[in-house]
Amino acid sequence: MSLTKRIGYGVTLGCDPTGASSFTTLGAVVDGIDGPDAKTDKVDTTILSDKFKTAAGAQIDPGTATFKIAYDPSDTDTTQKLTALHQSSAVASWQVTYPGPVTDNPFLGFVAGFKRTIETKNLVVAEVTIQVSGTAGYGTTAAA
Amino acid sequence: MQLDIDLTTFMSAQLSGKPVEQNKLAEDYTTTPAVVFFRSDSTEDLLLNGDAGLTTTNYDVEIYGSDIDAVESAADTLKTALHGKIGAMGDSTILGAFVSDHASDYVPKADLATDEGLNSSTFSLQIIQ
Repeated sequence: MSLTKRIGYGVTLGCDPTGASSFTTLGAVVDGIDGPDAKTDKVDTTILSDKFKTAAGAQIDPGTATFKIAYDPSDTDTTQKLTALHQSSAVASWQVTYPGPVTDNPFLGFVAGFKRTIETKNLVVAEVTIQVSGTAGYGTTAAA
Repeated sequence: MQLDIDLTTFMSAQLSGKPVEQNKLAEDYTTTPAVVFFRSDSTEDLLLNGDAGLTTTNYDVEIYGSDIDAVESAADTLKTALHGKIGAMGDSTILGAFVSDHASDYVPKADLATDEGLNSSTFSLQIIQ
């Protein structure tokens, strides 16, 4: 399949707090989604007779995903949903959707961090960190 | 822009009906002091999904007239009323208004439009919605 160039504008993040696949878009994501930062553990499989070292991939740590939201304590769609997930540590399912629409595979994770920032002349925001559990979700499913 | 209209009405009310115009001097600028203001820029932020974020609008406000005391008194009245204002301004709702002095090299446009050597007091105004 040929490359489709994409920019971040128009990308949405969906969440199903139950961990299933009925996603509702989080409408207040401010300016980007970072991660998950998946990393593979490396195992050295070199033996003495090898001129060049060899390695194999072992387990994959899916890492974390972070994003900022416009924080509003009365916002039921985003702020209240995420703060409830943070307080319950429930494993939710998440999915990134690109304009098209085209979706990444969903990934599971719990809200591991929530930090609000209040400044005089800037939007009140909160940085949300998701600890991913299982696959990082990279890979594109067919168009919806 | 609705905010321009509401700002005009608001400033005129603070000055008991003195002339307030956008982008041009009042026809009768001998009724001093008078106010002219210019919108220098307006920026609307967008959230990732395209929803509107904050809109920030910047204005240059000039109070001008032949009586320097009246000009400065009017400028002080407007600065006090505008700086830190939150909430309704006519039909607009603002999250915050902030007044700051102009840079020392700002040239009042009111001075450029007349040859009568008027006194002027200027400030910049930022409104966040």
